Amino acid sequence: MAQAAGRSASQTAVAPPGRARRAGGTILKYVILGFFALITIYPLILVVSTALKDPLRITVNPFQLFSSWHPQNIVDAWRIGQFGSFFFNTVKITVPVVVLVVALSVLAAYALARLNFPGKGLVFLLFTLGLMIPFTSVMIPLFYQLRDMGLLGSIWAVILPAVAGSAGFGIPLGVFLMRGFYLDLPNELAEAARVDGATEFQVFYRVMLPLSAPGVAVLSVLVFFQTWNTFLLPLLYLPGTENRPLATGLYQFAAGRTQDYGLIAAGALIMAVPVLVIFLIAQRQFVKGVTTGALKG
Amino acid sequence: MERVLRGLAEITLEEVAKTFPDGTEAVSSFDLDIADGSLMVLVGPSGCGKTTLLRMVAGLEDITAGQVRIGGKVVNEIPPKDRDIAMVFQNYALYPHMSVYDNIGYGLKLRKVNKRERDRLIRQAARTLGLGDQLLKKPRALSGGQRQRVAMGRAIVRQPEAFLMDEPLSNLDAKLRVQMRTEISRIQRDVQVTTIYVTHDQTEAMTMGDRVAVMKKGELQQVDAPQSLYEHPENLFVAGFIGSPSMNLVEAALDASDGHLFVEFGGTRLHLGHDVRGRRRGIEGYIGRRIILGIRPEDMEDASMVGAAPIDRRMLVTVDVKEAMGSEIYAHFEVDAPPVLTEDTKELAIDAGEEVLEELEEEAGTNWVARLNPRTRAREGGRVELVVDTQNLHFFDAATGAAIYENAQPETPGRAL
Repeated sequence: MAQAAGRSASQTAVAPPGRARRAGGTILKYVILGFFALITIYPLILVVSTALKDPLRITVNPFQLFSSWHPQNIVDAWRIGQFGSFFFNTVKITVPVVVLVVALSVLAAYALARLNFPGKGLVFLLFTLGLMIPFTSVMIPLFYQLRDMGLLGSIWAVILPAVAGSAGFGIPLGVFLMRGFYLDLPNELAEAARVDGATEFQVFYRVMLPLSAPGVAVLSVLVFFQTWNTFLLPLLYLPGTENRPLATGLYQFAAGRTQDYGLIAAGALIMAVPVLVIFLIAQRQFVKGVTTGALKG
Repeated sequence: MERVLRGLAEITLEEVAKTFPDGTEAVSSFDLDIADGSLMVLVGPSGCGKTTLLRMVAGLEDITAGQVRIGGKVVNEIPPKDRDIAMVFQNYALYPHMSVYDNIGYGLKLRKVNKRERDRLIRQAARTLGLGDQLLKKPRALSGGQRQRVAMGRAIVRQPEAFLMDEPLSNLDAKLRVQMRTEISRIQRDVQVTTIYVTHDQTEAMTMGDRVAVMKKGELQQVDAPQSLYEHPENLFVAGFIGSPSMNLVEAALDASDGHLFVEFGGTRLHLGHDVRGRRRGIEGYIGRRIILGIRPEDMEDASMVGAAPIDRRMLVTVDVKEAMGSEIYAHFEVDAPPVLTEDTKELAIDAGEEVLEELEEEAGTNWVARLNPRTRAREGGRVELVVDTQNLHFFDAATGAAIYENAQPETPGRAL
């Protein structure tokens, strides 16, 4: 007993240096983390800051943050820099791609996961084939094909390849992702609905689809990001300015004669904000969706 | 709950069979009649095909051969949604994204029952089940027992022709299981809907069923009222499956001397009086041969507890383990005879666990249980003399496992009852 008391007393005696060491460790940890956070976030903050600085300040002291308030950049980029029209073109392309990819993937994935039909394996294989063929290997033939179809320059020249997966996240990955979700859902739910009187479509639409909502959210957000930011597709297949989206718009703008960094930053901001907003709205669903597959029940 | 007037909804299975695509025969040539409004329990060890059979009645499984009729109508080709049946699943299968209210009402909604009527029926069902306060909750906010009730609610609200229940209580803890068992029986009696109830628990089968069908490896072994199954099992499998603790079995010799009949095993010799022989006339054909003898635990008693216990019906045993249950005592002891190893008893052992079969195959003696008067002086490790009620002995053909009653012949054992 006495020994134990002695030991605890000596422990208390040495505690302060230990605590100091621990505190030192914590500080070091935060310094390292802070450094990496800074080199990641600083450029982003700089873009926001530059977009809001007046042109003179940008040239005099480009790295000073928020040294003036000049929202005119954004207005100019929107009007003069045509970012307004780029923005709407991007929406015109992105929305149909998201709707088509999600709707078609969900239907195909459900059928592949839960219905039995001959050739099911082969169909699934064909979908996954879409994941394996790199876009760069088909981009030239696709160019001629789109030209012959008379689609070159129209938004469909981007929408169709994007839906097929050329922008990264199309039907192939969508089917792959959603199929996993539907395989995980208990079969009894479908059976309970069937016994309750549901048709096969009602089983899908009323029971299975709502339960795969986190998956649908993940898929929608990913497709949205990828399509919003897709660069190569519009660069190749939308040569004119008529349907030019933000990605190539920003590139052309920055590569042109303008050295107006304020406008370029404002353009980048216009492009980035919707992505941020969508992500923040969908974040909860997104995290849920990414984790539900792993943790069952 | 009121009962809507409807036609008779008896369920008939005629030579129903199911072979899975991989060649497994889950159910073979199965015949069963379930009377309108009655509760039929399908019971058997896991993998005996009882759930497959239920799913065939539900329409969730194709029928390979034979006919299923509900209310006289052949339903083989009718999809589940048009069979007018309701099913309660083992894991309840509640729709996680719907409230209790919507879970119960979904079937009505799909059947286009108008909103006011739907509301009335849902509330009525919820009241019957004591779910009135839970209607707005999602299933994940409910306890196991409440989920089970919602699953029941979903079934009764539609007033279907038949309820199909697939081990609905197996996910509940022991206490709740007993409570819900009574409740399901009560509800079923109130609504008078023809019910098939699948379970692997023989206690549930005995307590709930109007009639019980015992299954083994896809085949019907016997169908009867619970008490008849207990008293007159048709074969070793039913004898061993129904009853807890289960029937004690041993291989015995049947021999006659001076016109008296004796059954002998492991140093014990029991006299079979004329009353026994009169009721089991079939055993005369087995004299001089080996048979399998079955004794229910309650048909043995500490001889010192019985006034004037006959001397020619006793066995002397050493008690291994004594379990005091309060109202009675289970005395475990070993009988000096090898365990009965037939296809039926092996199947029963496997149901209790693979290792149980291995133990059984290795052991030299047979473990028995007697249910004794709690005032018995039997001690663990001590000797006790038991008196056997020979009136209730069971005899089985050693080769076929068929029970020997009135007319069973050794060569061609027919169905006795």
